[in-house]
Amino acid sequence: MGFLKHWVWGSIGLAMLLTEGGCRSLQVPERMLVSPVTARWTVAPPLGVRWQRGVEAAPARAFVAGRLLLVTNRKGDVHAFELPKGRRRGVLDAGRDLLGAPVLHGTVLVVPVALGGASVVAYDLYRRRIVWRHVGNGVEASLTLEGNVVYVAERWGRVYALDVRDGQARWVQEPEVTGLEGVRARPIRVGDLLVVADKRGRVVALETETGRLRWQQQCWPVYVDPLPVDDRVLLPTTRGRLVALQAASGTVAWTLALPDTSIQLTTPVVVEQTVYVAGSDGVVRALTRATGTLRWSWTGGTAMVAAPVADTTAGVLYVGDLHGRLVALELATGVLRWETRLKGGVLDLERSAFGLVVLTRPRQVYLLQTTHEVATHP
Amino acid sequence: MRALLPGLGLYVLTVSAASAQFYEAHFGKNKIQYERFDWHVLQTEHFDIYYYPEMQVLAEHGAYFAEEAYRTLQQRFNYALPQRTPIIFYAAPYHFQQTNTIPGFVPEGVAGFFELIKGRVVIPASGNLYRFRRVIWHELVHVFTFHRALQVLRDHRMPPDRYLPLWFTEGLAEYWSGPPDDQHEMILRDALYANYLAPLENMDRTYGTFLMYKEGEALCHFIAETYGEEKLLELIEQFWMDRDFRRVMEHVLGEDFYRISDRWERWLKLRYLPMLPHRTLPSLASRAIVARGISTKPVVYRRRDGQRFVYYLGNEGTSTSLYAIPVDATYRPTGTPRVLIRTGRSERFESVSLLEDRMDVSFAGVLAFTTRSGAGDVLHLYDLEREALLSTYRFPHLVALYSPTWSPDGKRLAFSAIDDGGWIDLYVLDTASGQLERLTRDLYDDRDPSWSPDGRYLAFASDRTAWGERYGMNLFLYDFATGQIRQLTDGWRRDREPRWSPDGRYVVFASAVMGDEGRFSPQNIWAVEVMPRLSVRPVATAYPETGAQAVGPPVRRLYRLTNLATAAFDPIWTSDGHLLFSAFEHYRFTIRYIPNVAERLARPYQQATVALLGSPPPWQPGRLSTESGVRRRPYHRRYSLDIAYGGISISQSALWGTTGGAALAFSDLLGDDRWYVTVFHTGRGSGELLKGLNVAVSRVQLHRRTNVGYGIYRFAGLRFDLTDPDAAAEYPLLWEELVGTYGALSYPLSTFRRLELHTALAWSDKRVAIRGVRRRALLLSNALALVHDHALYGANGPVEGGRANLTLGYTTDLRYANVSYYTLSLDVRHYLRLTRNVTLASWGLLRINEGREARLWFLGGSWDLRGFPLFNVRGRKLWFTSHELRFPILEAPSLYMPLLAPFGIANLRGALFFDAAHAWNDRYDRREPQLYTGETIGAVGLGFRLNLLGGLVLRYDMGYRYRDGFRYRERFFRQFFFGWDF
Repeated sequence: MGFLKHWVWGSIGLAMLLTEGGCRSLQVPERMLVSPVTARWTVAPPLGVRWQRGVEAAPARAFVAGRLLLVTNRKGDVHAFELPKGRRRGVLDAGRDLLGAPVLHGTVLVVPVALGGASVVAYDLYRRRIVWRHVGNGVEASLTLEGNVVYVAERWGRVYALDVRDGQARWVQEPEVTGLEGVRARPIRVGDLLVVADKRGRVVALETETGRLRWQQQCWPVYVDPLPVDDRVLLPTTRGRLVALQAASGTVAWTLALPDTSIQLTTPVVVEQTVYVAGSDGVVRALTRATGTLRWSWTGGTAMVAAPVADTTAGVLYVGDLHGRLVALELATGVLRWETRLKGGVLDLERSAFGLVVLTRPRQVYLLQTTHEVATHP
Repeated sequence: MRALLPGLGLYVLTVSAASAQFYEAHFGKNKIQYERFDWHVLQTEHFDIYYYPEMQVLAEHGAYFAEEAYRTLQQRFNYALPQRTPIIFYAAPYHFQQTNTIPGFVPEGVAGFFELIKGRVVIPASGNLYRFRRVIWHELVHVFTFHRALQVLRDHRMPPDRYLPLWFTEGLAEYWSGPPDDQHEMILRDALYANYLAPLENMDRTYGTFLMYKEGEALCHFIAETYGEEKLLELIEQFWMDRDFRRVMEHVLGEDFYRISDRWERWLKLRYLPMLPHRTLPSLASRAIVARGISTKPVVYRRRDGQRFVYYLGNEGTSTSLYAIPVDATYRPTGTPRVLIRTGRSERFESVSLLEDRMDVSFAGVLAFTTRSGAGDVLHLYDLEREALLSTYRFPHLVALYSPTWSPDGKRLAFSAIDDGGWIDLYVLDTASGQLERLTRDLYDDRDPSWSPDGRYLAFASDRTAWGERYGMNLFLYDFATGQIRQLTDGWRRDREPRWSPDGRYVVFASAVMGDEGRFSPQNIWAVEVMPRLSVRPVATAYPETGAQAVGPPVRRLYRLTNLATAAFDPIWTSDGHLLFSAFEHYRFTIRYIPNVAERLARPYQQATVALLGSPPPWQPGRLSTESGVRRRPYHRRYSLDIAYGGISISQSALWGTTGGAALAFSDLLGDDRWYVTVFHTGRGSGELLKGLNVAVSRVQLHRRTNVGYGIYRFAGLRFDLTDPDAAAEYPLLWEELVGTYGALSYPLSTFRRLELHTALAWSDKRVAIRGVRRRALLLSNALALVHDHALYGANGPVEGGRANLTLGYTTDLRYANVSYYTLSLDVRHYLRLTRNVTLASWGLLRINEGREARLWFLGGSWDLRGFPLFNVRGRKLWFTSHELRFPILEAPSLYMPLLAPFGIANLRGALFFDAAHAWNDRYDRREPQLYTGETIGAVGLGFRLNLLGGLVLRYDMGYRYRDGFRYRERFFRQFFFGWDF
């Protein structure tokens, strides 16, 4: 009887260990990482919730690779879901806090860690093991991958290029040279230059091959990812300004200057000749790409932090606010075409071949797909 | 303390309903609901604004300010509030002090608060729309900070068990509510010059003080300027990562904490020290007339016997009083200050505003001043020759009165007042007829009137210019002949407290000027030339409107008479040509003297001219009304949970069986109506499920002048009851079931006195197993109490005044006649303040229960009869007296022993004491040694009191205890405990 009792308890314990261990690891088959062959991405409104899942803490960024959806959170985990059904594929504990978006090189997921033992962690999704770690001062910014090189901008301004295969540094550029003080925005590659903007508004361009400083410019504080557009870089700032810089020289092409300098702008999106940007004042603005002139604006009223997502086929712009309101605006006119209300504030929007991925507070990820219901208008 | 504590329901229910006694006599002052507010709700996009109809226009301005703040703060915090926020407005500070949203009194000086349980923001208006707007912004920053911080913890899946430091949250609220004002500059300059600025690593030492607000604000300004404005939000977003906020600062700002501290100190010094060589301090540039405590608002009167006095308001640690100090011809004191009128003791002189309210003396020696009395302020006329109160005026619909000024003929008084709509305007009272005339009627802040020597003009300060939107105040003249208002000064300044020169040519006033660097200069004394050229374009007309005619060129000269680095207030140009004023230095206010104003005018420190033509029109603050789309509705009471305590935790013991339960409290949004529910179980086995169920439901209503409480209950189970006459003396354990109902009324006669009525009807089934007693009774218990409390408190307990409680009661058994006894309890305590820090405290107690099954009273322990075991002296009757000489040993001991600083030790005091008591039952001298009855016993000794963190007082007493009428010294004792002085 005593043996039986021990056996029962031992089995339960082992099962729990296996379950816990299995759930807290992440492994996916390679075929899942292959993107399906699709036409142009479109998910026309009206949308309905296909599924909703929890990710244990506030989600940070969504990253789609083929049929795999990866969601980082503010507890330092990467949650994986299989698209389109939403089946969980595991969790990777990467650190204490993740802010920036990872990149994928083959089967290796490279994750920037804002707070934790390592600054960058490379994890093989197929083989279920860490390939390499790079120790540093923490990385709040998203990574940029080009070929076999991943570009990293650390919290306190150190910028480096790592070989994604083994994590070895190809070059390192120190903040004493660049003057960068704190970086949260993704470094942007434009041609042979890497443009990095920091929280004090300092913008530098480094040569991608060597890291040598090419130019520097003083702008306004940048806390979200800039956007490369042709030979320019669009910098959304926290001071009510969207600045278009010439990537080659750093000269200012145009500036959208709002009267209220406390407005924080999101990462913009560009569709043809129009730039779309949202802000903490709850306003979505459409600007001409060449000059930054305002074409139209739409006022939702509630602050927005998620970068808009454009569906050119459907002709709409998706925008979400911090009260959970998700709307579709006509790209050409800004007229409201459709809206819905999700639980919690919208933190990120991401396109996938299977629908629109929406990350919300307190800890949800949604997949929305086109439904055949009647479109709702306010 | 509240007259009827919100926990009354719980309190009464934890004491046997069959008794009308309390161990600790129930004292406390009364928060009186003088008004029955007819609450309505204004629903804007993000807020529910609670107001009453008299202040509807003010509430609409407030609604506008709130939405304006929301738009900006949403951007600054990059965050949208998850739910609508209730904001409760009061038209005047005295209305605000009646609020039931928090228990207890609202301390004077509190301009508003954000309360966490229901997420309410409560804000009084004060007559000035800029300040109203600023407080609204300040509190909404708190709302955003709180929600954002909570969101951060939730985002990271962390429990809400850490908080941002108070200096940071208050500093951020000040910083993001508007630019630094003149008070901010004044405090920081003084802190640097007098060397009491708390370095960053010791900011917790300033906890709760005004200095904390200002240092916090300066620190936020420094962080924004040095590291970037966005870092302030980052500090909130990253505070989850470490309980020690220093580590968070290092993480966000990227520097070692002590380096940040050094940089901040340097930043402050660069900001304020360069001006110091070009300025002086009040203690160097003037002579002190009164330099103790906080002393303000001087006036001068020379009596018929030739003796000259300076009268002023002073506070030496407890309450504010009106003082008189004799001075000679050069204003040198020839005696010590004497209290003429003490406030805080009676309803007539409840309190006086030390910093807002001036006084004035007529040529006949009648002093006009205002105090709080009951529902609002009253105006007193006091004969300084006879030192007697002449008359008191109260005005319906005027809530607060400020700064009376006499007409030259002594027949009229002008003053400013806040009406029940929240607007501050000028009024004139004819003292003979009692007729009141209103001079202004608008939304601007008109205050500090001063009557010209020729009787024609009233100088006053007002924000009725474009500068008002930026906290500017300028001086104006009201012309009694025409009813016109003419502008006297202009510019981005804060011109306050004007007084005329004896010849009427000049007006002296206090002023801080906005400089080119965007900061207010130190507040100094200025003079403006009024005659011979008067009159430029009138900028506003009084009510009703009259015409205007410009005379003379549009230029006026201003002369700065002092060159202080800190601040000067309340200037007076005496009849003999000298200047009296109050000055701020080293964190206190003193009364000071400068001779020969004419000489200062001839050689001023600065001269300025003011051009009045072309001034932009006065500011017009925005307003949200139903025309703007907001909705209005009456207030409907809805209850929500305030506190849930205890949960369903279970404990088990051989004696008590299984115990566990919960207590819940509900109330409406305004806190006027409260419900308390207590459920717990004391069963000792599975068969006692119902038998051991205890439940109590109470309701307490606080919105009327009379506070009402009632409830029903069922209690059953074992308990220790020292007061039960049937319980064994050594082990007073008994089992009792009580099922009943109670009611309580508390009627405040004044702030200091109230009547209380308690009645309870309960079925009682009592069993004392150890004695084989079983007693049933239908108990009716009534008690009437008269409570008086005008005690003033120091750090460890009362230091001045007194308090008393007389309770009469009767308890009877309606069914079996098993119980019938009368109760008398008289508790009187008096505190004689011998010096500022030394008090002789005296306590007399008489308690009698007489009749069948009369309950026992008890004494013993550190809180009353020292040297004897806790609660071990018991009898149906007792008297007790205690006398204690309380004195300081060390103030701020952590300064001498820095190791103590982390423990927050506020002070160390001593007490020499003498206690005596006599308890008895049937015969006065019949001894029951177990209960110490039948003999007079007592103790003599020395005690020490240590105040921790301003809240907990540790007590250590030692001495000798005596028996047999003090004939026998029994032994030496030492006793350690906690608790306030009696």
